[in-house]
Amino acid sequence: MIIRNGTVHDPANNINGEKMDIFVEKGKIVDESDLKDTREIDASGLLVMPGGVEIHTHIAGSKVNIARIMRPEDHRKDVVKKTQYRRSGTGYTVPTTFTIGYRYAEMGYTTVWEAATPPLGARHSHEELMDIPLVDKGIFTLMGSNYFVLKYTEEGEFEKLKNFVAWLLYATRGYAVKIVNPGGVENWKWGKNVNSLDDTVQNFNVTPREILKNLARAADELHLPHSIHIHCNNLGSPGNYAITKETIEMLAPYRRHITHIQFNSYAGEDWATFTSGGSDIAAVLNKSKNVTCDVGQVIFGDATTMTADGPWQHTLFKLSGNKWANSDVEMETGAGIVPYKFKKKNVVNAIQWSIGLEVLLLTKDPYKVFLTTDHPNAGPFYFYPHVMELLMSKKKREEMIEKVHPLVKERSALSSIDREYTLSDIAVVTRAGTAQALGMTAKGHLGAGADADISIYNFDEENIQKSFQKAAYTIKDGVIVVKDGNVVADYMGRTYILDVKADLSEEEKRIFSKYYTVQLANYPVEDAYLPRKEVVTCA
Amino acid sequence: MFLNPLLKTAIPVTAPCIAPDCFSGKSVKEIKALTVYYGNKEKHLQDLFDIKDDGQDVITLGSVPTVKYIGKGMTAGSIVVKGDAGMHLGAEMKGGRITVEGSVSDWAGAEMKGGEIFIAGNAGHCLGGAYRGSKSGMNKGLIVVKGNAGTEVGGLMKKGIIVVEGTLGDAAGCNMKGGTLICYGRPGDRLGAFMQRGSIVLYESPYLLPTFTYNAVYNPTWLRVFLRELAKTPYKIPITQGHIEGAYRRYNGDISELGKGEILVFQG
Repeated sequence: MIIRNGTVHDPANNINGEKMDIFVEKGKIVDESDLKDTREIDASGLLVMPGGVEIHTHIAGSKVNIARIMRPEDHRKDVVKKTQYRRSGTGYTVPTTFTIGYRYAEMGYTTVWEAATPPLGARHSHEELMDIPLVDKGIFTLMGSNYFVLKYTEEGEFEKLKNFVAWLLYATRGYAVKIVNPGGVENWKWGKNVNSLDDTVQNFNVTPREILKNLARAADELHLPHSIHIHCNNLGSPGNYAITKETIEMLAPYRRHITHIQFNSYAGEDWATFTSGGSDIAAVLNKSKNVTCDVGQVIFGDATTMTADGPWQHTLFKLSGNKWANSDVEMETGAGIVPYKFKKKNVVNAIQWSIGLEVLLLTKDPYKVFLTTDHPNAGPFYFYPHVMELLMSKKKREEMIEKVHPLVKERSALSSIDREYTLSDIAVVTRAGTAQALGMTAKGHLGAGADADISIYNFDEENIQKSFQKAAYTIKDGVIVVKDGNVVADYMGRTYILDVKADLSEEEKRIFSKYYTVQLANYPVEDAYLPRKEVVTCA
Repeated sequence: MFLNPLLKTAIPVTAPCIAPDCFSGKSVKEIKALTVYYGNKEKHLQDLFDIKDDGQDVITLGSVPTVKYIGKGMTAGSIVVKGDAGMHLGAEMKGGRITVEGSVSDWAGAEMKGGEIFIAGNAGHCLGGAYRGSKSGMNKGLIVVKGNAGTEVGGLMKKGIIVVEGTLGDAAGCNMKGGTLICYGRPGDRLGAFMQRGSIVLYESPYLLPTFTYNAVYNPTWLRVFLRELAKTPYKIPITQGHIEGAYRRYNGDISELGKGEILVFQG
């Protein structure tokens, strides 16, 4: 297949807005000399980018399903009809599995990562991933409050810890180590939380600092393609930018990814003095190496907050008065779900909104900061085009600032920022950068050898949101799956897993059989749950 | 516009298009071609109804006990049902008036935000209620039922008035957050369970939950004004001078929740 005369933005290969042809053969991008398939797509006047790579979203697994069950009112307002190529479903903050796949593909995204799977819920997550069509996918495995991780950190048994991390990634068919409020989730089982990196975890003589350092070292020594994926302590509390800064700095030189950093960039002492810490966080990001983050940009309107951070969800339940679900995953982690509504005229919500944009705009290197809404915690993922518009146009930002709470002008630096993202910057924060941070060499660029995941947009500078909302074409592995913003094919994406191999020791097996409610033999996820697996080598 | 049902059927018909907002500005031919669902089959309105233009703006229907969503989301105009109506009558309506000469099924006036519904017969469950998961049910508007009503009447109600002249089913006014529920017949069990705010006015003594506490016997000033205004509506609500001037026993609750709701029981 030849994609003719498109304006190509492929920042990973230093191509920024050049008119050129892209050649696709058997699901891969090739040089012109290797081309046999001579079908053509006329892309003249259109914008060609690599397929979008989503680094952090909540789309499958037990907590997503609890949210689906507890929010019937959410489904009612966004009903999706079936067509010849797509199934019916419902949308808004917690869409049905099929609708998630369709909506990502319609925006030009071709790879998505479920960001928090409790090991015991891994089978469930993979079952749901099987029902998310069109896109490539995979899961991150929650480890921050796992019994064995805490035990080995306490005992100083690093090699055992490393072995356990490898085994857990194998057993859950996970791709990266996800850490949520390290230590705090374990403390929540006793109704408590941790408030600093040096608080002690109940019944384990360890601190969040030790947990993070050990897991960061394990991930680096195992050569995992993605670094540890951290949801920091004290999320959502005023003044928490200090702990985020400390976490980034103390983990050097290990690789680390701070997720939904907006929720962890708050200055001020309490809700009354709540201000933005976005510029401080951007300054830390600018001077640190081996660190990446995604923002978790707030979208005004309905959201469903769902996270393994049980104590924070209880706080949010008390703050908002909305319904609340809490879940305890025996030896491993927990979770909480609270519906939430971000309001333009609420001063805290408005400042939260400004922080995400501040971090995105003030971080100089776009390869360090990525666009997410932490779907559905800060807003649904299909509002990304709206955020892209705000990033690319200072005028649109100013219009929005006029609509939100006036204190934003005083308490955030957003109104003084002149930077406007270029199309290549957009391609980095949604594609090239995320693929690089995830260690996915065949994604996020259009060089020879890359997967033929391509999104083509009918770009209109005056109407950026609309341009990115519906792709003119989304091509997945050389197959046109979306045309003119409509799904035109059914296609099953790959599930990415790692080639880690490890076994549990006899002692670990004994503890497992004594304390787990499932048998060890039933615990690892079988290949039957991976209809198209893609094994990534750790090296 | 007069719509006479062509067939008697147990199969539910989903017809949110039967509303003045949808009919206005359309010719009879266009109205006949409107889409409705007969079970899961898509049909035109004319396949199920004999449609006649009687020169009036009022939409008049024959007895349609299985037709759902009549007047859904309507903002103005008038609908008259010469018999029974199906579920979700006037759901989410914002204005206008619906008159039913027979009985209606469940969810009538669910999450309505304005307008008036008059039901000469009985009403089903969840009258003026909130759909599952919603934060609030009826929010402004008036519902008058001459007969009895089912369970969960006025669930999660936020504003507005519901008058039931017959009996109430169980859990009436559950989770109420505001508004007024008046009942002339005997109320069911668990009246006002979890109510936070709002008023329930009764003319027969109820079986109250233990989470309601007795306050006083008095004549509420607001109720005098309220009943006088309500008596001016054309629905012949049986308000007597005694009701306006008489004494009421006041209970507040549900004290397992906010406890700012009140149940007023007429004493004479």
